[in-house]
Order: sequence, then structure tokens, then C-alpha cells
Amino acid sequence: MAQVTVSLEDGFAQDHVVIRVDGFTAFEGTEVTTRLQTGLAAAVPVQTSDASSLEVTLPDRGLTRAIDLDGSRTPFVRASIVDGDLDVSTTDQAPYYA
Amino acid sequence: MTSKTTGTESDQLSVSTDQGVVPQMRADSDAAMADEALLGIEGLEGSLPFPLLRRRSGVYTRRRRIPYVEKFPFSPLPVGVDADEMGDETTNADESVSDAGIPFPTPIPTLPLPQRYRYGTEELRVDVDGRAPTMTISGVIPGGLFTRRLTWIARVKRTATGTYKGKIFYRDGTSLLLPQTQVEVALNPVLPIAPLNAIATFSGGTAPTVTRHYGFAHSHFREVNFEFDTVSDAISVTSYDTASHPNRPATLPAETLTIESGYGHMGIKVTRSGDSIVNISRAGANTLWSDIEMHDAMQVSWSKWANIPQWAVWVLFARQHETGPSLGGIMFDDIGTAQRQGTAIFNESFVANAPAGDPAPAAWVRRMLFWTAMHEIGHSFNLAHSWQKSLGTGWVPLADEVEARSYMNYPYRVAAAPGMTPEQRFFSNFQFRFSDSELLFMRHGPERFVQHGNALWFDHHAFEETRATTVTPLELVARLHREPRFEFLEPVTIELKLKNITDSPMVLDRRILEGDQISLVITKKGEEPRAIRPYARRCFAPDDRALMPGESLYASMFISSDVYGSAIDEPGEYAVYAFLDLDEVDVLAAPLTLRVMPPTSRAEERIAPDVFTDSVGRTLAFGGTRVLDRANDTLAEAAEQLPDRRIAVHAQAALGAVAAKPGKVLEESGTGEKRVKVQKPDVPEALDQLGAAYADLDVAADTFGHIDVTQQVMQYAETVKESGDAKAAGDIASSLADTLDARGVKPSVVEATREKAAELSG
Repeated sequence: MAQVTVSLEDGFAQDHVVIRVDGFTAFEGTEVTTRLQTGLAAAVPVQTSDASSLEVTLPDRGLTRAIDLDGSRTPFVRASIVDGDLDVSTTDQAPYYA
Repeated sequence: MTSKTTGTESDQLSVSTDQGVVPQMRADSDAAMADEALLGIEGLEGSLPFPLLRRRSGVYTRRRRIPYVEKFPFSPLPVGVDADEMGDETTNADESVSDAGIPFPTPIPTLPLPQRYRYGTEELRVDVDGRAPTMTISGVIPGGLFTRRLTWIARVKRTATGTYKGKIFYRDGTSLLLPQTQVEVALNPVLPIAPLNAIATFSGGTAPTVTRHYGFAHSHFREVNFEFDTVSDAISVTSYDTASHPNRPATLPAETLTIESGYGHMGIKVTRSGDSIVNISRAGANTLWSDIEMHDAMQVSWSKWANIPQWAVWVLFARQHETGPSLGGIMFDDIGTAQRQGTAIFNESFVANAPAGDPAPAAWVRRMLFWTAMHEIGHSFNLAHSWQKSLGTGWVPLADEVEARSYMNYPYRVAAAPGMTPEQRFFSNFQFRFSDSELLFMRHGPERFVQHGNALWFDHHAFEETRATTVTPLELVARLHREPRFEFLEPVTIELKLKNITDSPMVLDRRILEGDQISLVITKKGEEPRAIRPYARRCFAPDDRALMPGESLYASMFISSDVYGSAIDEPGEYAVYAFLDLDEVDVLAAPLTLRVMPPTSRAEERIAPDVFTDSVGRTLAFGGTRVLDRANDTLAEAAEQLPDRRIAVHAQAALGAVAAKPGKVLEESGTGEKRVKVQKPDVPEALDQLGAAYADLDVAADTFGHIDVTQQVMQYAETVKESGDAKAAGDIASSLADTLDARGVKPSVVEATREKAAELSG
């Protein structure tokens, strides 16, 4: 098992967000909103395996993105809403904010 | 060297005081250079053609004489236009024009009012040379108490003759203050031998061309105070040697950049106030900071803390935020009504960890800490991140600047390059500056958008700001004793209360609230304000009395209509402003907001044009008429057709009041002879009307207000007694006392009413 931090970054505005890992709900939040001073809405730790499927869903907007990840190699996931689309990517670098 | 601020007498040369316009000039020709030295702005700039030419960007000013009453519709000026009599050179001198170049409308008959003036400073902000010029000229024209100051902005180009010319593309405030569409500015002199001045010619649009003269005031565009407080377990980094890290642009000047000089380069003059240490020894095990804790600390530690807009920022250097090391800093102050006043930088965060293999890790850390401080303070100027520019409602349409080399971009967010990480690429060509669009906003954006603690949603801001920042010995309150929702057609009467809030007695005219010193202004949402000019002003002999500490004076004001017609008629939201003009200071009441509800029937809509007439307005204001027959007919019709509406209560009260007592009427005979005739009372009619009007005293108290209902119902009771029914008269007065008591009226008033009831019964 590995801990992965899912950073919900730009574009969230009072959104209902669901994060599922391998089909199980790992996080569900309402009114998720990006704080513009930092560009971050929430940083959510979830447990994954070395080969997991992670899905971020905004049901009210009809947006869903799923990615495969290896939590031990890329322990950071960044999710943003860009031009109405959900953009989800993995990285081995911790995202920073200011 | 020191830098002076503008506006002191010694700085100004009075050029044309007889015209009411005084360009403000620095007496010392080195003023620009003195400012530049303090700001860290280079005086001899590479962008200038010759080394002897000096930087001329900065703020130029002139004083404007503003008639004190210019805001009111009874002034011959259009609402919102300040007047500098003959203050401008215009192209068509034969025509009478306002300062804005607008032909005056034909003056309407006015009552003589004493002309009083105040002075305001008009700014011309020139941004055409020096470091990072945005080729912009903007200006600020002061507004009145009820007109919004105008900020205008033009992008300019240098002309062949050396002037700067461009179209005015942005206005915020009362546009009438500058109707012209173009500006051309000549800056004089070129050589450093005399004080700088600017001549601006405004042209285009439908208004005549006007020319204005300004004196140089200072090189900076804003002046702001920073206070750096440091938590005892943290370090503060407020400077950075730009040559200390090898990854930098070849053209970057080598210097020790401080936060002050960094902002100074951008045209923002920084002053400092008492830095201090925040002792965290009593914080216990948890020494991480939450936003609320920092906001609380700001209120305690910051020497300049005030919950009002001010050009001041508190910068806290702390160890770590509760979010963890991923947060390098934050402009935490999005709490309360006066936001963007506090920022924090966390030295135990990602900014403290230089990448493995960095050639100068200590310099890397210091650079990141310095960048973070500049970045967070940038947020306090209302600057968004570079990639967020298009979000929300921009002050002007903005595009994202994802690759900007700006303090407001994340170095680790830009695109990487072959062999370079994003952060390495960012700093390889970062000139330690803000982007052009950010500089445009900081230097020229309307103050209300940029200033710390200011807020976009401040409706009627100028009035509110004046009120909030004026300390007076008296408190003026405009109020209602009811829900602020009025039925359609219902006349509006408000109550004014003036309270002595000092510890000492004050001598005041007992009827100060009923005389000329009280002014009322009403604004309907989305419309220009209009002053209330009552149908009559009473002129009393002075009746001074001592107003004891905590004691108050009261008066009621009918505000539905005045000599100019209906002031409150259509459904919608209205704000009522009251101010008392004392010699030393104006006492301003907080705005009273009320709403007029839509009509509920066709009958109301049909009769509305007849109710909203001058004659009906006068009749309701004076409480009845014996001569305005048409008004009485309208009121009788309203009482008959709308018996359940409050206009009927007012109609019956007015009709009954004149029927109750004999009254003099001036009549003109067929030969033109004028004579006074006494009209006899019609007591049965009066009792019918007044009985209906005051059948429900709670409703009557709601719609007339406590002061008027007390006076009117006691007169009604007198009429009843005169008709021979003393017991009924006493009962009416007693019921009134009960009603006032139930509504929380002062016990002394209730007691006096009960005593009067007993007297009537006897």
C-alpha cells in the first residue's frame, strides 16, 4: 500500500467531488472550492496499491477522469478543471503553493 | 535623501488661485530624483534617449475647487459634475461650460444658498519612462460626497513632437467628470533645470477640448506601509542579492534587492512601521499556524491594524502553516470585510529545500523566500496568479499569462526546457518584476480595487468611507420603527435621531434637525442620487440648549416628495442618506435602506399618476389642504378605492385634519381683490375620517412614525373632546399610550401621553 496525495487545484467552485480507488470511494466532498490565493481547493490523502485505478468524478458537472497509477512511484495526483474539462495527472514531485 | 508627500503648502506654487485651480508643484527641481533614489528607481534610464534627460514618469497634480453643494439637483450644474469655475482653457470660450466641458443646462430657479467650497486633488499619472513603463497615462478626478471619483486610463504613444497621446479606454466612476475621449500630454521641461509640469489636453467625444495644467508631485504611483513581524521560532528574509545565484538573466542588474526597493522599482513607494517579534513560547506543542490564528495575531501585533481600507500590509514571517510544508506562503486575509491586509511567509516549507545538485543552495533558498514574500504581498494588492487572470470578473478583460516571468507566477509551474526544470527556466530569465498587466493594475487601477482592505462590493463607497473615518461628537441616525418595506403609494416618513456621544454637555439649537443644516439625499438602486428639498424650511429663532451626554434630539422627515416632485414612487430599493452640516464637521448617518413593494391591484396602478403629483405630495407633507381641491379629490378616491392600503390611512388623516378645525383661506374675488376667509370645520366629517385613519394605532404608528402619530392622534383626541365626548378622547389618548409603550417608545413619552389622556378624560 502507498499513500497518494490527490491535490484538487484550479477550477473548483462549490463542487461535489468523489474520488474512487479501485472502485471504492476514498473521498467524497461537497462545496469543494479553489482558494484563489493558493490555487488549491483540497489535498486528499488516499491509500493505493502499486497498481491502482484512481477516478475523480464531479457528478453535478458530468465530469469523470480515471488514471492508472503506481502509488509508490508517483505519490502525487493533481486534478484541475481547465476550460470545462477535468485534467488529472500524476507526478513524483510534491506540488507547492504560495 | 528624503521624500515628501504632496499637498503641503511649501511644496506648492500658487499659479492661478483666482481661477480656483492650483497646479501643485515641487519647489525643488530635484524632487523626481530624490524620490527615485528612495524608491530605488534609476534616474537615468536606458530607455531615455540622452543621459541628461530625466525620468518624468510619476504623479502630477492640481487642486480643484469644488462647490460644496454641487451634488444637488438644485444647483445649476448637472448632478455629479464638479465645478472649477473657468478652471480650464476651452476651445469655445463664448459658451458657458462646466469643468468637464459640458454646456451648462439652463439654470432652474433656485433658492439662494451660500456657496461653500472644499478642495480636492486631481491626479495625472504618467507612466512613459523609467523601469518597465507601461506607456499609460491615467488620472483621478475627485468626486463629491455623492458622486464617485473618476479613474480614467489611456494607453499612449510618443508622438513626433514628443508628447504622449492616446485614447481613454477605461473609466471607473462618474464618467461625466471627463466626457472627452482622448488625451495628449506634454511633459516639461526635458532638461533638469526647472520643476516638472504636465499639460494635458482632453479632446474628442461631444464635449469641447479642454487643457489642464499639472505640477509634478512625486515619482511613485502608490505609497504603502509594510510592517514585518517575525515569529520567535522563524526567520525573516527581506532582501536578496541578485548576483548570488548563477542561474539568472545576463541582463539582471547586480544589486541587493530589498522588499522595499523591489516594490520601489515597480513604482510603489514603501514605508516601514515598527517591526516586532511575535513570541510563540506559550503556543504549546502546536506551533503551526492556521489562517484564523494569523488573522487574530494580525489584530494584536500589527501596529497599524484597522478594519478599514488603508495602504498598509502586515507581513508575518512564520515557521510553518498547518497545511504543511507544501505551502510556502499565503495571503491569508480573506476574512471579514476589510481583506487583503495580511500575508505570511513560511520558512520551513518547500522553499527551504534547494533541489539536489543546485550550484548555490543557500542563494536558492533565499531567492525563494524573497520571491514568496514579494508574491504574497502582490496578492495583497489584489493580484491573481498569472494563470488565473481570466477567472472571475477582471477589472479589465485579462488573459492568462501562464509563462509570465512575474512575481505572481509559480516558478515551478512554467514549461520546462531541454536540460532545465521549470523552476530553472523561470529564474533564467526572471527580471524580478511584475508583468505589464499587473503593473498597469497596480499603478493605474482604481484605488478601490487595489488598495488593501478595500472591497469591490462597497456600494456608495465614498459616502461610507467618509462616514466610517470621520470622528464626530454627535451620532446621527436615520431610522424607521418598522420593517423597511413600504406599500406602493404609501408615503414615507423617517425619523432622525441626533445623540451626544461625548462625555460632556453640548450646546445645540433644539430644532437643529428641522433647519437648513440637515440634508437628505435619496438614491434609487442604479440611479443617480437626488437631494431632498422640502416644501418648506422652518426658520426658528435660535433656541440653544444643553444636550447632555447620551441625550438625543429627534425629528421626523417626510421624504416621499419635495419641491422637485416624487422622490420615492416606483417599486424598488432606495437608500436614504442624512447628514448634518456643523461648522467644523459633517455628521453623517449610516444609509437607511428601504424598499417600495410593487402594486397589488389595478386600482393602485390607475390612481398612481394622480397620487404622485405635486399637489398631493404637498398635501400629505403638510397634513392636509383647504385649497388644493384636486389633491383632496384624489385622496378621497384613494381612501374609498383602497380602504385596506396605507395610502388610505394617510388620505383620511389629511382630509380629517383640515375638517377638524377652522382655517384661513386666501380668496380672490372677481375684481382681483384678495381677502382672507375662514373655512368652518366639519366635525362629523373630521371624526369619520380621523376615526378611520386611527382605527388601528399600530398601523398608524408604523406608517406615520412615532413622532407624527403622537402629534396627530393627540389632535384627533382634542377634536373628539371638543365634540363633547371627553371619555372617548381620553380613551384614544390612552390607547395611543399603550401602543407607544408596546412599541418600545421612551417611557417619558408614554407617561406624558398617559397624563394627557387623564387630562382629556377629566
